[in-house]
Amino acid sequence: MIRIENVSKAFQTSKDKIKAVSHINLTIEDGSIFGIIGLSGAGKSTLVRCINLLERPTKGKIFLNNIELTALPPKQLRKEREKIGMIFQQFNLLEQRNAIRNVCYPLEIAGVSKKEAMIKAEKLLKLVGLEDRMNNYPSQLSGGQKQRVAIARALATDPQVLLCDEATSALDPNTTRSILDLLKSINESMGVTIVVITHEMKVVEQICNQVAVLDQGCVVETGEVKDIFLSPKSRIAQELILPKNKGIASLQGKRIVRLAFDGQSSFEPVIANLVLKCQTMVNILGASTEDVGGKAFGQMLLQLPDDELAIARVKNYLDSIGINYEESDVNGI
Amino acid sequence: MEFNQLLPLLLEGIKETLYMTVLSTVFSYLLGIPVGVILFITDKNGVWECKPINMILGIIVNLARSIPFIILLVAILPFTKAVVGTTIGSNATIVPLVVAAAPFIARMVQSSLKEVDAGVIEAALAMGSSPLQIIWNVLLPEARPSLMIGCTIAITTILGYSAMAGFVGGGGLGAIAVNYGYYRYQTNIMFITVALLVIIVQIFQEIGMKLANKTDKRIKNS
Repeated sequence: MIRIENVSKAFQTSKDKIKAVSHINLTIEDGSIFGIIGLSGAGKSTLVRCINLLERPTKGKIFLNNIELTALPPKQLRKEREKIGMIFQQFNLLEQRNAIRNVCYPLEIAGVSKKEAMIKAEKLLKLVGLEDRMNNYPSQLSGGQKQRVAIARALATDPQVLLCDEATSALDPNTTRSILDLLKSINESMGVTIVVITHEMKVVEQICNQVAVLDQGCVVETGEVKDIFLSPKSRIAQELILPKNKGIASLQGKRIVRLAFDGQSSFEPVIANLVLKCQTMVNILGASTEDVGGKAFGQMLLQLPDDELAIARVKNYLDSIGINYEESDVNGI
Repeated sequence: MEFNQLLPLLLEGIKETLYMTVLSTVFSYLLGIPVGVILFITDKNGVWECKPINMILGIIVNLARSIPFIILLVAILPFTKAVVGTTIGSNATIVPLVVAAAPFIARMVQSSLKEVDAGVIEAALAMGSSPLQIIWNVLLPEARPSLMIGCTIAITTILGYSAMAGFVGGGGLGAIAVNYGYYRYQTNIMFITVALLVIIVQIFQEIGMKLANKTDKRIKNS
């Protein structure tokens, strides 16, 4: 379990003090996939660097399994860091080492013999699906493959926690998907707690169970992804979930319902059925949905007719098929 | 001078020049690498940030680099005598060469290390590396191609300096050029030695760059 207690970090510049994060309190449970989302400059990267003390908080404490990391002397801190793997947006592989020797690096510095390190590295590279790329140098690998090497490297010391700092932001959508799937399967099979830093709601939707929304260095909202996704309370969370709401501002006052798909079957024609069953017209204002292994994820904005009875029928129908929805004024979003 | 007299003279000169250059480079690097590493890690945001050490070392390095070599050569004669027991010949030249080249090399090493991606150092820190492990396993290996290019530049510069030592009784091709070409007006001998120096520089340069490129894993060698 990671406990972040009242953590603040300020940077001293030549002119003034810049507060990157202030008074953060978070608890990240073992085995969860915890998302930290925010716009750029919100302090996400600083916060994640505070967890393994790449950035030392100006105030506050960090606990890993009830050991206070912020109080440890350098040598013990280095030992604890072996329990916290980290991957980065720019992968940060050693350019002069091939894939397998990159994975060996953390084992070498932990004092594992070369032979044992090689055996373990080979196993890990197989796990991330790069058994045929072991002797390639980073310059010979694609972005997705580099991130896979980085993941294998981060897992080499059997960490309890894996920190992902915008790990998919430099990758295309398909590669992003496969990396996220890999992270999820690692979480499930090895029980590694994963902390995901991102500015993309999609990433949170796809793999996280818990999420904290960060704005200007403060946590403005935290909880289950499902809950925040369904009814975002803070302005910034609404912005992140519905980034393109400007075009529908003209629909003020009209009846808008937001449907959230979180794992229903992709094969079911939900909207068509809704229209047929409720005998009412709906207008699709916007949608962002994705199919993940035959299951639908994402959301859809529907405009309903100004007819209370029809609306009641629609709501009833949505309830009956188990799709979460939220009625909203456009001005509220 | 007859060719059969000239040839052994030139061969001896080449031998002495190579001897001075190679040994001076080796000793300069033995000094320059640690100093360069310390300059880099004690700098702002370095893995062992320490402003006073960085500043003092920086000043010493700059001071040594500001002294013209020909002045330094004469100025440290007592030191040279104390170290190698003589002030003439090849061994006596090595001392001032090292004194002049080490600070220059320290700066080049520092600038090579600066080329290492800060993200890679951060990743290594996150994995629990100690500063020493970072120097040994990350900084130096990752900067290797750049260090090799630096070494190529250093060795050719030292070769040029070594020729200058001919004026104060040093050995090698430079001494031959000075003694025969300058003092005895035998310009043809001077030309030959200069040509030889050019060839040696060319060889070092080519080999150095080839090696640097060949070992650089960032370049796709297919």
